[in-house]
Amino acid sequence: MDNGLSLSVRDLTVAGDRGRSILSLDRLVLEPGVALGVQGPSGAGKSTLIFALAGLAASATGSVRWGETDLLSLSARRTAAFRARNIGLIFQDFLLFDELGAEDNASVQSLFAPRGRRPGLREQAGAMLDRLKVPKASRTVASYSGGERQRVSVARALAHEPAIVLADEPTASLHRAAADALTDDLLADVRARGRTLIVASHDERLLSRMDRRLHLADGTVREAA
Amino acid sequence: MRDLWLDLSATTQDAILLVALLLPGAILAALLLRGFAPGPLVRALLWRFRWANAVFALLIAISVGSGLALIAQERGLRQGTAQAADKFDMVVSAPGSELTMMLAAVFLQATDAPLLDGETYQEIATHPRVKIAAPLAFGDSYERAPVVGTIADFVTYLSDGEIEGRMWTSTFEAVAGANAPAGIGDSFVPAHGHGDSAEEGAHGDAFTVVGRLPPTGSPWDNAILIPVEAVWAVHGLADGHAPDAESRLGPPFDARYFPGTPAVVVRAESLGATYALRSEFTRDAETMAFFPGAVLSDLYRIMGDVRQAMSALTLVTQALVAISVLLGLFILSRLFRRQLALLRALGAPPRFIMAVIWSYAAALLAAGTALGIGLGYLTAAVLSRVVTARTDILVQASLGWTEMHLAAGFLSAMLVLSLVPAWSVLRAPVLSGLRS
Ligand SMILES: Nc1ncnc2c1ncn2[C@@H]1O[C@H](COP(=O)(O)OP(=O)(O)OP(=O)(O)O)[C@@H](O)[C@H]1O
Ligand SMILES: [Mg+2]
Repeated sequence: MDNGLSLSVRDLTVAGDRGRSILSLDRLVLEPGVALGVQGPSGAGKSTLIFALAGLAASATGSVRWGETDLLSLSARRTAAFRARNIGLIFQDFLLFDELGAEDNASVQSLFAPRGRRPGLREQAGAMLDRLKVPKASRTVASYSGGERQRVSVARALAHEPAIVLADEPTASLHRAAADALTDDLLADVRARGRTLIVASHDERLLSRMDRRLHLADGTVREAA
Repeated sequence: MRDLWLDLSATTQDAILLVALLLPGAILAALLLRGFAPGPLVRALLWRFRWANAVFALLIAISVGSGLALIAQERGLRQGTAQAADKFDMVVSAPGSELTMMLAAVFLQATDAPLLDGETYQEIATHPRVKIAAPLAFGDSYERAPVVGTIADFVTYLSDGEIEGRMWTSTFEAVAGANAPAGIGDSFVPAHGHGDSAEEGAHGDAFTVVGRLPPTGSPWDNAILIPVEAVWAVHGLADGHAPDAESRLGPPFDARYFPGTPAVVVRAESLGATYALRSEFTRDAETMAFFPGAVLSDLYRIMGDVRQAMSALTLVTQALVAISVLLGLFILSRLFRRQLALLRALGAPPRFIMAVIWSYAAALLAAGTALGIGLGYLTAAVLSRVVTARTDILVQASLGWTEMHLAAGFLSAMLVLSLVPAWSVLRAPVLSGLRS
């Protein structure tokens, strides 16, 4: 079983294009393996927080410490390497390569992984697709349904066995039944492996199954339940 | 080292140069792609924007192809004209423009030249170091083909003794060039003059073609050759022989009955003799002797400047194409900025992102260049056919090492330059890429 990483955020601020602060978070501490839901109205800064925690917000200041690693103090190359090893990202609109099949999409990280890890990555991606019941047809994912596409993107996020899963509105593009099924599968994997999960969402059904919740409004924390 | 290089065969040198020119691209590829497998993503990008990519590769191909074809054509033309003048060691004529006389004697371009008289011809023809001294008589034509009067020895020499049929044996027989509009057994009546101003049937006597020359790759292929005596006779002139030897064909001619010739093609017994003869028959106000090959060389030298200008223009075109290619790559890489941002979000190292863009660019450039070589090959072949058909000068332009080197140099330079757009995508912020 993999272990999640603990998170410790201090004085995180993210500025927008014109220098206006779009997110500020004084303090957030998570134990490894915790599932955190981030909610808040549109424009509150949920996506911004998810990306900042992945080291993708160029204007972020403060510290985002995963385990022993302060992501904001690393070079771009090492932040990328950290993501490749430890973070699985899931997006609202899936972000797949439409010209590739399900397996190629789920194992896309193998294209730049060290040669020794490539077969393992492909194998795990295939196993993950099976577990998520995605049809491994030879056709490209362009012809897959929304639910199937999101499952492919979940398989991609989990294939490299990340300690952290960051999801930005993973169910927003899905209808109710598909959203619930995806929530079940995602949580089953995360719980079984003890991964740390942070999900930004409006979906009350999804949020209600999280260990903790963070309420964002206008870029600041209003309430942590 | 230098000796070692000079010891290699020309082909080996050319091959090594080709490899050396391709090397920067190959090294770059090795450095950039080491440890990565961007293939599936590059294929995806190529397929996703297939029409834009196809147009792009085609533009590269057209510019590369036309550049290569032009350079090959110029070389083919030089080789063709030199080869056409090969049999004409030396020409003696009245003083004037060597170029005009060469065009007239070797390339059969009609001109009004002053004539050499019988004494002068006699002097050349009887010179101990002269093997053949052929008088030429121009001015008539048949169906746009020049009808040229000369002597049998020269015709035999032109054909290397391989006449199909036979040599003429009487005044109104003719030997046709390989592509002339009359074949063995045909009869024709020459017209006075050339082209549209030719007076049809001005000369009433019909000639019969009895022999045909093998192809020589020169305008003589389109000509019909007749005894020089016949040309003189149909123009009502003396026929070169005394009245008691009227039925005679060919030398010796009688200087008193020699109507004159604009040019004498001379073949000497040796190369040394050719030079001696040239100085002997270079006489102010009397005769001019020149080597058509040397005149052509002079011409090529003058044209060398033009050629350089042309090469420079080709380079400028290629540079413009290079700039457009780079701009196109910038624009195309904008099209997949979302995919690239995604890769970076998934943890792809910067070098991998560069490898994807660069491989994509390299695929377009390599395909375009390869297509361009094919296109250049075709264009050169078609142009050669057209020029050969129009001038009867056998032009065989084909892509050689020079063109391969140019193509390889272009490709390598472009591969290196493609690093710029590949690098620039790294500067775009990931977040805006993901949100777009
Ligand atoms: N680069 C930027 N420059 C300026 N403002 C930005 C920038 N990026 C985002 N913002 C703004 O920051 C705020 C937070 O955006 P964010 O996408 O994090 O909201 P969100 O909570 O995810 O909203 P939604 O629920 O609609 O997805 C928004 O008002 C947005 O317009
Ligand atoms: Mg959002």
